[in-house]
Amino acid sequence: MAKIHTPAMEKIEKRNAKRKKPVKSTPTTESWKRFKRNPTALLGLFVVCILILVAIFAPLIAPFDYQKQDYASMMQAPSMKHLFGTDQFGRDIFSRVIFGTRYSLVIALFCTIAAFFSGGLLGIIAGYFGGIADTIIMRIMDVFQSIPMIMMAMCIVAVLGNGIPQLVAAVMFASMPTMARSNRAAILRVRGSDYIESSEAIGVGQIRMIIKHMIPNAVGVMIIYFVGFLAVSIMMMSAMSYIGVGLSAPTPEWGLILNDGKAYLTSAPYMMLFPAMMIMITCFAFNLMGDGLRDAFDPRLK
Amino acid sequence: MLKYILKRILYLIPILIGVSAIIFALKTVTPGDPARQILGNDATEEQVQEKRDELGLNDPVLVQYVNYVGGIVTRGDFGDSYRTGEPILTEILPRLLTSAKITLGAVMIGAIIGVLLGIISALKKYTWIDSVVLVISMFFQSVPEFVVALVLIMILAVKLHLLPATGITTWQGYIMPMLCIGLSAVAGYTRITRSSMLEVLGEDYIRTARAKGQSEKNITYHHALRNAMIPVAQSLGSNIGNAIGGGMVLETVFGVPGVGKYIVDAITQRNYPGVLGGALIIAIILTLINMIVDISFVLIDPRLKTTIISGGAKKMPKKMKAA
Repeated sequence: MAKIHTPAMEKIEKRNAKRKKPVKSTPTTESWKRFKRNPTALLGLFVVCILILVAIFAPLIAPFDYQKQDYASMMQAPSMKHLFGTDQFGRDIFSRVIFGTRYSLVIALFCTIAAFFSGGLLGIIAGYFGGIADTIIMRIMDVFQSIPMIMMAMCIVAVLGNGIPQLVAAVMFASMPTMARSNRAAILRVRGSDYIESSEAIGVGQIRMIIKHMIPNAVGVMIIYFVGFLAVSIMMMSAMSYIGVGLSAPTPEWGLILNDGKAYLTSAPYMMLFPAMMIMITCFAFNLMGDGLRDAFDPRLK
Repeated sequence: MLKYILKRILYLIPILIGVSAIIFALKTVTPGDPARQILGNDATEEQVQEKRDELGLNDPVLVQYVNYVGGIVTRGDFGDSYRTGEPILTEILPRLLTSAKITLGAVMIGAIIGVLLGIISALKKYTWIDSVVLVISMFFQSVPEFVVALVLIMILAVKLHLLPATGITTWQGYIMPMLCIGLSAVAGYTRITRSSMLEVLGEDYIRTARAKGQSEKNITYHHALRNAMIPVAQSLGSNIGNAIGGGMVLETVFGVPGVGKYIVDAITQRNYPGVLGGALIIAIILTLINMIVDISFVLIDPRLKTTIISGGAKKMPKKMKAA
């Protein structure tokens, strides 16, 4: 049937073209709507974005070279020239903290990705296949969980030695049980749904099932864990390098900057105050954002 | 009931075997030769070889592992410190008490504050009080304990001279470490208390109590709170684990001579038997505590047997349906 054109219809079409397209309502847009309504979550997102920008543009922001030792200006209190003061080697603490953002965020990201690829994968396998695979994997994870996370990480670093790859490995192993458990739960919730059952009925292969049907549907919950774990790994990393395990000087990681200032706590508290503030702000922001994501993706969990 | 308890105790065996296997695996990959460590650098190659034979380091790995576990079970032998040559166990035992005091104090502080805040936010749900409580408790959860500790030291010890910055020679020395670990756990308790309070307040027996004309105060504290406390109490076990982990770092920050500080010192001194022996002792204690917590709550409230066995609670054996 040919399309009929009448003046009235053209008018309607023109009007429709002017109107905004109806917003498609997908789970993602719904989640984003819920996330937008949450002021604390937005604040967290905002701070995280600033931190990422600071990490990217660190060389442009930092006024001094973070490694340069200037013996003419040692242990100076915060001033206009040295915003956060200088340390015992005359290094500008502001620059060190700015570059520390880069180190802390990137290493935390590595740790989290590694944790997801080890523990997360195990959890997905356990959740998807169930049965014996599930029992074996989860029993092993129970064993790993009997050792407190940070103690496990420290033991591994103690054995492997200090350094970024060693630290990533340590955090990965230590977080394996938590990661496996949460990813398993995420998969299990999807596993019971009707669409998985129907895909199974029409004969979708297992790999395709996991990659195409289950992970996309579980990804919301996994993002929550991902963001949450970024904060956890920043916490663990800074705590470990503060007590001298994990990374070694002169990396400008926040925990290590704190470690540098440890001896001067009474005489020059500013040396520790600013890096401590940065750790606090970062961890809090990531947690606020993670909490907001949880409420957004999964209102039932609240 | 007895069957459940026996099962729970039997469940310890694979866990302990697994934990000792992890520690043993770490032990085998430690750098350096233990024989050389004990004899010092002056020893000849033959002496070192002899010592290696004596220590059983030339045996197959499996034999070494069996001997390792055997030594722990029969003689309580967790290895000797590279630093002093003393057995790890005798070095750690006196420190355990200090760590236990701090851990218990911290768990208590965290639980009391957390439960109180949880009740408040459950009763004032969806008001600004609820949100403020949530944000504050989340702040302490999301910020590393040692950073809170440092800020507290700066304020309370350095600026105001109220409390000693380090050491536990006086009782005031305990306050800050306990407070720092406790505060970080508050959010967890608040959240569990809040959600379980809200759940319980919707139960039929609460409606019945209301219908009977019970005062709202009575309902909250006698009917609701008691039942709402069950999940909170169940989380105690895993919280003790977190508190011990947090204690490791904080004992170092505050210079408290506990197990955590021992392990951290051992790491910096490359005293590997100290690190791994200490970690194993902590893991064993933690596993036992978890078992005792599980069993005692089942004894208190037999309804829990079903939730624990069917995997209703976190950190509980999930595949024990056969019981």
